[in-house]
Amino acid sequence: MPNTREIKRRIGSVQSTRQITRTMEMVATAKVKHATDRIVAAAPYSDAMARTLANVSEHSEGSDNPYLLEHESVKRAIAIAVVSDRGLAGGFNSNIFRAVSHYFADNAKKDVDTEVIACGKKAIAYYAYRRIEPLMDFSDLSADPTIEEAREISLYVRDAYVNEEVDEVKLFYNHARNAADQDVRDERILPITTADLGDVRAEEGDVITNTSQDFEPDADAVLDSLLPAYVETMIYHALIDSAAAEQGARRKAMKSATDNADDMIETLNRQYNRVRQGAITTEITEIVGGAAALED
Amino acid sequence: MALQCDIVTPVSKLFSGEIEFVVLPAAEGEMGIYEKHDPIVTTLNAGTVRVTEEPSAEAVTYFVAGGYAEIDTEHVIILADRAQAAAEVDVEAAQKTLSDLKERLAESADDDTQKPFLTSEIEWYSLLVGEN
Repeated sequence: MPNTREIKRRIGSVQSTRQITRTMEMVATAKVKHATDRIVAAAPYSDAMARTLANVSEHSEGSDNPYLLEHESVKRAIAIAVVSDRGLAGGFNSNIFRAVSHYFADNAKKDVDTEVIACGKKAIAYYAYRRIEPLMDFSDLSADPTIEEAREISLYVRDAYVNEEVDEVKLFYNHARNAADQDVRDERILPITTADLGDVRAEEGDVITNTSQDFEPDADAVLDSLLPAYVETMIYHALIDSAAAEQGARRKAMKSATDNADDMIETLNRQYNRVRQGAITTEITEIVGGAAALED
Repeated sequence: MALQCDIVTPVSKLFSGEIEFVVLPAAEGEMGIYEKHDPIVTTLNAGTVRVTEEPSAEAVTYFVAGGYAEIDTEHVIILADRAQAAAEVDVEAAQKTLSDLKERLAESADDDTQKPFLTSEIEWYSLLVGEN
C-alpha cells in the first residue's frame, strides 16, 4: 500500500494537469466563436457565387473551359492536406493523414504519381518524417487562415492543371459538422465536376432564374471568369472550415481530458482516505494494545 | 434612390447600402448603373468601382482586382476577387510591397511554385499605386 504522502503528490500532479487541460478547453471554446464568425463573413460571397454559377451554367452552352475538361489519363495528382499547426486535438490530424495515405496507395496501384501540398505544421512534420517533400507548405496559418494562402494554392494548381502538368487535384480537410463533431471530407477540385454545378442549382432551388438574363460579354465568358474564383473559394472555404473544426476537436479532446482528470482525482482521494484511515486504525490498535500490556 | 449595392469579397462584405449611382469596370468598358437597370451579369476587369451614395455627394472609390457583378432593377452585387477602399490604401506601403514583390519575382527560379502568386500580387499592388 502506498503511503499518504505519495498519494497526495499524485493528486497534486493530476490537479495541475487538469488545470491546464481545462484552460485549453476554454481557450478553444473562445476560438470556436472567432472561427465561426469568419465562416459567416465569407458566406455572402460564396452564396452569391453559387447562385450565379447555377444561373450561368443554365445559360451557357457547353463551355470547353479547361477547368471543366477531364484529362484523358490521370498521370499525376495533387492532394492538398489541410491540418493544424498544433496537436492536442484528438484524431483531427491523423484522420486526414489516413485519408491522404489511402489516396496515395490507391494512386500507386494505378501508376499515378501523387504529390502533396501541406497546410499546417503537423503536415510538414508528418511528411518530413516520411521523407516526402511537399510541393508547397504553409505554417502558422491553421488558426487564422488567410485568403492569400488559398489564392497561392489555387493559382498554382490552376496553372499546373491548364498546362497539363497535373491531372487531378483533391482537397482533404475536416468539416465542422457542429461545434463538437468533425467529418473528414475529400473533394475533387480539379477538374471541376459539372455535376457539382448541378448540385449548386438543386440547393438553390428557390431562386427564380430570370429567363431574360443578359450576360456581358456572354454566358461562356462569365463562366470562364467564374470558375477560377470558384476553385479559390473552395480552397478558402476548406481552410476556414478546417480552422473551426480544429478548435471544436481541441475543445472536445480537452474536455474529455479534464473529465478523465476529475475521475482520477476522485479515485485517488478515495484511496488516500482509505490509507489514512488504515493508518489511524493501526495506531489505535497499537496504543490500546500497549496500554493493555502495561495493565497486566 | 432605391438601388441596393453590395461589394463582397471572399473574406468579408466591404460595402452594403442604398446608393444613387455606381460605375463598374465591366468587361466591355465602364458601366454606369442607376436603378431600374436591365438584369445583367457581367465580368469585371481590374479597376475601380465608384459609388455615389447621394445625388450630390462625391463618389467613393474602391479598387477591385476583377470578379463579376450581378445587376437587376433594384440590386447591384459586386463580387470582387479582391477589393479595397481607395481611402484606406497606403500608397507608400503599397509602393514598398510592390518593389519587394518584384525583387522576389526576379530572384525566384523558373519552376518556383510561388510564381503565379507573385505575379498576381504584383498586378494588384500596381493597381493600388496607379501604375499599369
